[in-house]
Amino acid sequence: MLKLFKIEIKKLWSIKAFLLYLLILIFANVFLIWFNIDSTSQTIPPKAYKQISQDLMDMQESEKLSFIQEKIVVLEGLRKIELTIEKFQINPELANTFKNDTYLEDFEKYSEIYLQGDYLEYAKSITAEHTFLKIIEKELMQVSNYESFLTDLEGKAEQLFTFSIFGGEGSYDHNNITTTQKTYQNMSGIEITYTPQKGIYQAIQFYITDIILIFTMILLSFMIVREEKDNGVLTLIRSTSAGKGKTAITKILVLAVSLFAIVCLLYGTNLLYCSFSLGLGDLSRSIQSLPFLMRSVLKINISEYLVLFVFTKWIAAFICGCWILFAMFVAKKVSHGCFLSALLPLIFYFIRVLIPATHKLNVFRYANLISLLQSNEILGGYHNLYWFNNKTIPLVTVEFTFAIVFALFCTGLFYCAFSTLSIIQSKKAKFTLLKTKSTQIKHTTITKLECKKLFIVNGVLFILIVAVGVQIFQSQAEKQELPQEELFYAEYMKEITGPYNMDTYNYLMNQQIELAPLIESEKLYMQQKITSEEFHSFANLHFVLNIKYEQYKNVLSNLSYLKEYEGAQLIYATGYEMLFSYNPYINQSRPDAIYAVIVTILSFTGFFVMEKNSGMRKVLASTPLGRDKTVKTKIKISVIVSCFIAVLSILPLFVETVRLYGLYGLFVPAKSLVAYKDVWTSVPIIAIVLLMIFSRILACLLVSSVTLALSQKFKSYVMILMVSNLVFLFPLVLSMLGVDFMQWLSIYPMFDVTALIAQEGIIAFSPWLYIIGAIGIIYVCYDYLIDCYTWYFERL
Amino acid sequence: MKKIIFVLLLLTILLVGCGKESQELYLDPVGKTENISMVTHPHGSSDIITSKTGIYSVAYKDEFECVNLNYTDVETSQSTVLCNRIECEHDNDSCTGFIDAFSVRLFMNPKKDKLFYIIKENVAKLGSTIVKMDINGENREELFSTDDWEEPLYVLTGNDDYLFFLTHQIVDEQIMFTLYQLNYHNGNSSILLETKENISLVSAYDELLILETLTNVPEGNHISISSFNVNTKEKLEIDSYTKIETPYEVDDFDNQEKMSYVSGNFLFVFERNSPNTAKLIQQNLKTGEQKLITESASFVGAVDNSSITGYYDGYLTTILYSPEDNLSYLEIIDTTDGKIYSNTLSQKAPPSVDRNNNIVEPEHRAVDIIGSIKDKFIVHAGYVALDTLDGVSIGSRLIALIEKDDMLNNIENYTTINYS
Repeated sequence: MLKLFKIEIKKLWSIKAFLLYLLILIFANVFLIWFNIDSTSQTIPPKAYKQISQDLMDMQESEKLSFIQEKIVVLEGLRKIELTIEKFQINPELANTFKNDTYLEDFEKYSEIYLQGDYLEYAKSITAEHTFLKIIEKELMQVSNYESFLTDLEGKAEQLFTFSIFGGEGSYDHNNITTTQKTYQNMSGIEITYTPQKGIYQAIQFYITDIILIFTMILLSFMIVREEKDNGVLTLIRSTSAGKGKTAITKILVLAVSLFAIVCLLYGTNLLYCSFSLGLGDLSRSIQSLPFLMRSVLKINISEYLVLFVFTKWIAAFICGCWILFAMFVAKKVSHGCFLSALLPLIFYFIRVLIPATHKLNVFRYANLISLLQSNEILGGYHNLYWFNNKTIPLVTVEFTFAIVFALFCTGLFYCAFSTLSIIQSKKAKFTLLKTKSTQIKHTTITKLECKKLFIVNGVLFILIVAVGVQIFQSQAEKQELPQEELFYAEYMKEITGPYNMDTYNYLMNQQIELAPLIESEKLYMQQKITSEEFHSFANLHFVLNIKYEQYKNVLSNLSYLKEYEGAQLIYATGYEMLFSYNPYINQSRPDAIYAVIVTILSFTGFFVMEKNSGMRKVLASTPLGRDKTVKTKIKISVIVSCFIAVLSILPLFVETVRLYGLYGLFVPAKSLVAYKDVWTSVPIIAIVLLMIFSRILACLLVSSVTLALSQKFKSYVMILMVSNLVFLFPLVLSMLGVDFMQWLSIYPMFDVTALIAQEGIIAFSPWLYIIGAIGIIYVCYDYLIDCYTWYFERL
Repeated sequence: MKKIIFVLLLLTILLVGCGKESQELYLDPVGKTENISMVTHPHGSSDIITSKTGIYSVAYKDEFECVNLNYTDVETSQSTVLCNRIECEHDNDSCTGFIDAFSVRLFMNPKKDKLFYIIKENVAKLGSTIVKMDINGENREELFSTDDWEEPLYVLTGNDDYLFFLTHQIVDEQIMFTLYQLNYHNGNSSILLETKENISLVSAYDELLILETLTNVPEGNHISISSFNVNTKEKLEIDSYTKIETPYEVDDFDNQEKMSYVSGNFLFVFERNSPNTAKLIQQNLKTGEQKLITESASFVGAVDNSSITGYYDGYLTTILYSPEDNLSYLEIIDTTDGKIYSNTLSQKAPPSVDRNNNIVEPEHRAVDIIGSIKDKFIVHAGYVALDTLDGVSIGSRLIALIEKDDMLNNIENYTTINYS
């Protein structure tokens, strides 16, 4: 058994691809934690935490507090001086009152320090430094008053007993108060040593590490069972004497040990990075010295807590990993395995969301895989849950009982599946959507065959159905209605779309008849014949008409634009603003791009590699139509599917735009839209719409052609998925998370072409560079594929 | 494999099904709906509500982005966040006294065994939600959500099973008012009335909801008070008058100036009988019986300078404003014997800074009664000034309890509620 374990673990940790992916994931984790700290450091730099830790190092707790508070008092005085100087620009009289009266004392005390100008020690402005020191003061007061916090709990408990709403003896409330009171009675006497919590907090409360951990679980499952299953090695292993039960146990052990190493690696790098940038402080101090762990009832120091934290995280990861291992083993295809892997965590996630923490069934909220991943929630606080007959049960008990039961369940499930189930080979699969009715050979074409391979064998039909479902769901979920203001505006603008002429003028004049009362009252107000109160009161009385009048004025304001830009016409622009996404607040291009990239990559990952792995490539290459004709057919099909995905990515937005606003004036010059004011008059709006669709199709073709080329180049599904995701998905996700420059390294500009050409300067031309570049790459990829197929034997 | 996926999908559907029942379902048939009464103040639900034993209040925190629910016991005047966890920080969803919303309005059912609130989660999210919870804060349940552009009017009536409330939204260029009946045991709701008339819910008794309809007429606003039977859906007019909008002039007081207030089955009507006084008539809406309470109730200046603020345990309160002195004061009328108490207690708002950065001295305002519990009034007694780093004072309301006798006799003997 030990020998088997050694072989399995050596096998896993010697796979270069596995080590490479792991390295990438760890790098991504470090990069994201760096980015997270960096993005919040504009006001308070990370070094401020290190610096204040050093300043507080040799002080007693009471000295620390007075040190901080003295600094705050000085900063408040300085801020008042700064405020007075700022006010002087706006209201000199008030500023003088501040200086000579309200803030006189502060001026006397701190004006000299202010004039010297070297008062900032931790941040770049008085307000930022004040905010920083206030945070430190709050943390310090919280933990340094730990003993009085415990004493207050006693008083608080006695006080709560007096409230009738919390029930009498025997009620859950009463039991909870009593249990909590008793638990905290044992906590006195803990030594508190304060240094800022930021470093530790950032390292162990960084949720992205958990997401990366889930990726590593999938990766491990691929490597431990899926790869071997797909290449047939597992069938061979399972035919040996120790190939079932013992191998199953070994694989579980390999998963456990590997996950432990990965959890240590991920959180270790977090701690190392945070120690370097923010400082962790002395790890031998009690966990109650950290404000966010102050309510924990564990009497341990921070280093012990970190060990416990990693252990808890590992248990959660192990349970989740076992489930993924099971899913990957039983699934016929990789996509099914991914779906099944995600299903259970999703179910648990919904349970956690559906049951509020204050609900009587909250035990189910916490006896939950997702809750188990929240290690600090379990260890860093104290919470009693409802139990039957108004009894209480500690959260830790619930979580650990669940962990044991579920760990047994998941390992048992995998063990049973591995020991008993026979591996389903694709060719033996009974489940096919298109069942052949007779065994007689029927005439077919290359296109039909390739379509069947892609849609049925590769499961792209299923992926596309899900993709269409997602878009339908999304368009239903985001269904919105227009406000009354927009309805009025649309009513006017739809009538007058087109050039401004006599008809338009007459239409606008006729509208004034209906609006006469409000126009008249506004005139009286402008002439100061009525007061503002009377004017507004009149407007309020004609509430709906007033909304209409405001929109009428908006319509009139469009006329000045026509004078300024010759060739521009009147147009109802709100729909185009939504469709072309040039308003950054409603820009949906990034999610669209991510959606299209995921669907395209999933669709084409196996299109070439399946024949390569099964040996069919050689057979095909030896047939008359198996080379040039076959590859060109594959490319044609991929082009059609890519176009479909591109159109699908834009469809909900298009349908919603047409439903809400309608696309009026498609042949009106594009410069009628303010965003495209510099576009030639001869370019109609429909040209922008077509450019938008063309650019998205090109982007999808780029992703599909590169994925197909990778599918031709590599033998492993995992490799193809990882590389294509790294090239296309990773930059998009990073740009969505706020790393702005990554958008320029992604295909995002091709999805955002209409917004980019609306910008000024060099950025407006950038989409064209991407389009030209994309055409070039697509050509190279297709050429490579045709070359590989046409000269297959020559290449061998 | 297929079986496993099928079982898991089934489980998901079951769990999602357990989540929340559809609001489109029909009401459970429970026979005649009666014993309806107001569950909020006629001016709308607020951030303070009284229960049998104490007061629930809302304290805003984190720059008004979320709130804590506080409870004050009237007997002991002790306050606490509505949470039974003594170690709790009251800053996340695991606390029963924490609500992650920027607007919270409270109310209770007539039995006072359930606490409700209407929330607007944030500025970006349209629509509002009615949530029910136990009186100790546990077992929160979302009962009803309005459409995106639909706003509740915050005046609610109810009985032991149902809540009745109005919402409004713009439909076809006009404001549409909808009257809902909501079963607060299972969340089922139905529409009782849809109208484009400008209606508001002002009171309720037996099986009747009292509605006030406002119509613009050349002279001002025409007010019609009518009853709506929730079982038969019949609407009957009780009273109507025109509220003159033009400023009142002394030599022109022959105009029929009236103001009214409905509480339960009592309609109170002030009818001006001199430039500064009015007679107060109480009409029992059930029996039609009328009773003259007093002929010397104060009624000053223009109509907007007098307003009825509430009816608490037999005391009708009006706020009267004198523009000349920039002063407002409270008048309390004991409706049992017609005795009038002129209240001189006043509250002071903190200084504020106007648009031109000038410090504005606060005006003196009357101490306003906002509720009653046992032998005490709950009053808005002043403001607590909170200084900020930028030198701008923020006023936080000071809510206090005062013995009814002390209030009537102008004795400033407050017990402050720890409100924020």
